[in-house]
Amino acid sequence: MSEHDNAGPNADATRPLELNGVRIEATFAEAFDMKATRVIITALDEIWAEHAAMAMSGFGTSVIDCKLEIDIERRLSAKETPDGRPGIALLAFGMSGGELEKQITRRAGQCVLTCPTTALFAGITDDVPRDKRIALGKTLRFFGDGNQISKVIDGKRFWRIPVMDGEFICQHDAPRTSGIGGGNFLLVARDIHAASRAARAAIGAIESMPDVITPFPGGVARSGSKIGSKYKSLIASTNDAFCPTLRGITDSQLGEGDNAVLEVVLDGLSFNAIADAMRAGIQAACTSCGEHGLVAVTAGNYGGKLGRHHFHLHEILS
Amino acid sequence: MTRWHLRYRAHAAGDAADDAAPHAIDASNIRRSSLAGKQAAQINELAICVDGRRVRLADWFELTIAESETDQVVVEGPLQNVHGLAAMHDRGEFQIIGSVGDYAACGMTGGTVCVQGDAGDFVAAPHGARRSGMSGGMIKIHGSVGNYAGHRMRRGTLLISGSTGTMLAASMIAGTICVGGETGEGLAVGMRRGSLILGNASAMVRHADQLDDDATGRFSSPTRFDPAFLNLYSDRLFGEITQTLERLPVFRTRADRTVGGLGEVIFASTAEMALGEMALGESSATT
Repeated sequence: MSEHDNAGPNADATRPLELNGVRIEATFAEAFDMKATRVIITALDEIWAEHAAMAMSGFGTSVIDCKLEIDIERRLSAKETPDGRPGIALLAFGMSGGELEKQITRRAGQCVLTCPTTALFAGITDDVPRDKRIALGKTLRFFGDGNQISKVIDGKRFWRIPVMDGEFICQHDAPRTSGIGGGNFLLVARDIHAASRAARAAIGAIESMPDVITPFPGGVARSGSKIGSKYKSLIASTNDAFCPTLRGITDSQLGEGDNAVLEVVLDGLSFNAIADAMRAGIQAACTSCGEHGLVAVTAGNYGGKLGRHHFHLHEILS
Repeated sequence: MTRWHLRYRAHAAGDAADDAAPHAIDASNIRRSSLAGKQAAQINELAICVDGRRVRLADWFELTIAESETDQVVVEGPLQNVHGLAAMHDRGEFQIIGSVGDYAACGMTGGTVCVQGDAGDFVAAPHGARRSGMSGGMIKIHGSVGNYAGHRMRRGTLLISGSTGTMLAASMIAGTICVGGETGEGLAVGMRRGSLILGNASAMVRHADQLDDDATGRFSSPTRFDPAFLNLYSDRLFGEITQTLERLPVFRTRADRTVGGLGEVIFASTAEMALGEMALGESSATT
């Protein structure tokens, strides 16, 4: 599987590939470099942890306008968290280290600090230089108005910030790492019911996988986009080639009976994490809805000019 | 990395065969930074001070050097009269097998110091004429300590399995001290900040009860407290010392309020408190 290449959208066209009667297009998903981090929210119980995680990952679908792509990676048992309480790991991706830090700090302050019983920790243990770390308690500690207490435990600094339910415990900072954003595949179906079932099957297979998130609502986007617009102020607009209602008036890539398309967008900490998730998602969708309305699986790319990470569907599924 | 093993010569050069001879040995020169990069012969010539006289290290300690995964200094023997061991320890592990004299790990800045026995006065206190005591790392004492443990301590963690003498955490600036046994009088005098965690607060409560009003003003009213941050410590000795805090209601008081200090003393409720001998009832507690 080629991680980086300069091939065009159909350069890997080989023999036709089908999975459970679903046509797999000979194309590739194009993804680009991002900055990433993982944070862990813990709480007295799963319910508070879930509230905080949902709030922190809200409005975090696309960097186009949210400036951050963030979602729950997985639920953690009490044995897996730093303070022995139930928790949730979130992965966050930004276009730059500065923007990632800005968004994480804001969300931590408004969504985690505010949520009863929660604590916030770094979820990546890499030893990285200070300029590659994202402030958590480093910034939030000032809420303590001088009553905050610092503790260095096993070489890591934590802040204890007095709040009305006791103390908010927050790690000083979290390492920043490299990530990949924009992995994707499109599910082309006879109708929205089949597309919806296929998408849910795909997300069901992906959601337990490590190092990868699907940040859109329910893991799925219906508003796939292309770069640019007839309106100068917009950097992206509807992906008309996959809009069924525009068949006949635009250069459509949909067949006669293709009436609904849903896109699964993936961000991950590594090429393999995304490739594995794409494979699992596509296989689950095809197994679930092949011969039940799912017609084809394809992927979005920009001719190989935007991102250096290319996920060729045939190679992933071979 | 290197392991330096120093065994105390019980019957040192020219000395009578009397183990209890009251030699005062200043061994503050035995530290990782002094040993690193030196050959055995050079280390043997290092100067230490015995009863005020400068002598060769080899006269009092038998040295063995070996390869190790981490820098490790091990000092073994009856070391009650050996003072200043692990002073200014900066990284790696410093193991003291046996009970040790005063000023153990004073001015320490990093790494771990482990004492398999008791320690004398001024553990983790300032070294020489310095203003601050220990400023990083962890000290584990598996026995008891003398007076002024954690004096002017600035950072790091001091774990004491046994009891302490008087003036524990006096003028403490920051850091964490955790004590499993009883504590002497003068606890937290002049304490500015930092955390003092007591696994057994009976003696503290008894002393506080005997103090006059001025002296009790050193502590704020104890309040109920959830010490959630203790769960972040993974050290086994820490877990053993703080076991009682997991089982009993925990309180916190701030000290030393007579100097505007915001240090915290965290302790579990005691039998005395449960019987109402001290005004620590739930009614006065904020939860």
